[in-house]
Amino acid sequence: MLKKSFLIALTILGLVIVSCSSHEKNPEGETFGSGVTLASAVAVSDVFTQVDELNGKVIRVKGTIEDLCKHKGCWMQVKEGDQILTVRFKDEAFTLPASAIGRSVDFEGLLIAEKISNPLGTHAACAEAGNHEGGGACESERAEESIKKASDMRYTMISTGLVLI
Amino acid sequence: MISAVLLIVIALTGILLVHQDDLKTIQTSRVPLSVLPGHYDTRLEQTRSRQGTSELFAGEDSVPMRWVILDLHTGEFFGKYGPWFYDILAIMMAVLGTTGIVMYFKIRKNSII
Repeated sequence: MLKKSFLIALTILGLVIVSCSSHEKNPEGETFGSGVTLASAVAVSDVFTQVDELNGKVIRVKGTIEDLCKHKGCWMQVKEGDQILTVRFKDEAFTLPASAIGRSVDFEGLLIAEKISNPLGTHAACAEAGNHEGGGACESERAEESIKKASDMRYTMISTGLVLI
Repeated sequence: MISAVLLIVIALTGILLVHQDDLKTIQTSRVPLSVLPGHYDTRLEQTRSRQGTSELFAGEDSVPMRWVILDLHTGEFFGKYGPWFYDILAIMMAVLGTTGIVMYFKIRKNSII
């Protein structure tokens, strides 16, 4: 009797797993999170050129994964040229395998473009860059570069789902 | 009784975690904070603060189901001391398993003699 119950439970569990399988059967690729629902996707480069128009909107983007959080897989970076788009998975609801680096990805989420100022302040930034003796401006090109980088725009997408192609 | 229930929970959540990429429900469902222990409020706040989305999703008081399944499996669901309790439970199970094997061979040996 016990053996029979165990076998029935095991069969049901197996059927549930097989029937709920999402990314194995998707012909478009492996789905993570809620997948993608919007009809058309924009290229990563278009995100940067049309940022005023797209900022604060839910958009679908296509690109190639340059890097991702190897410990948890809870963020990824999609690169095109010098521009990097950081994609975070909303509330860390899903993760990506480390093997996803280099693969094409089609993802959907909210775009946040914000100008970031150096939270440490000019003097601290110069000091961090290693060539500031206090009181005045940065004393090396490297230090100035660090401030320039710190005041760049930061582009982040909060993704609710994606498809690995 | 508590140990048996927890063992079932650990086993089932283990299966769900292994197949989390295949089960879309785990990736898309959310659990309301109202039914979860208080420490989930803090964790959600910390995660959103890290992601810079605290203000964006301020009205969404729920956490991904994946969090709950993972925490039930590791013991973190029960708070700071949950994993310690799970450790004790695991040691108990290992001792019971070992003594079970020893007893099996002793009984077998006695029945042969």
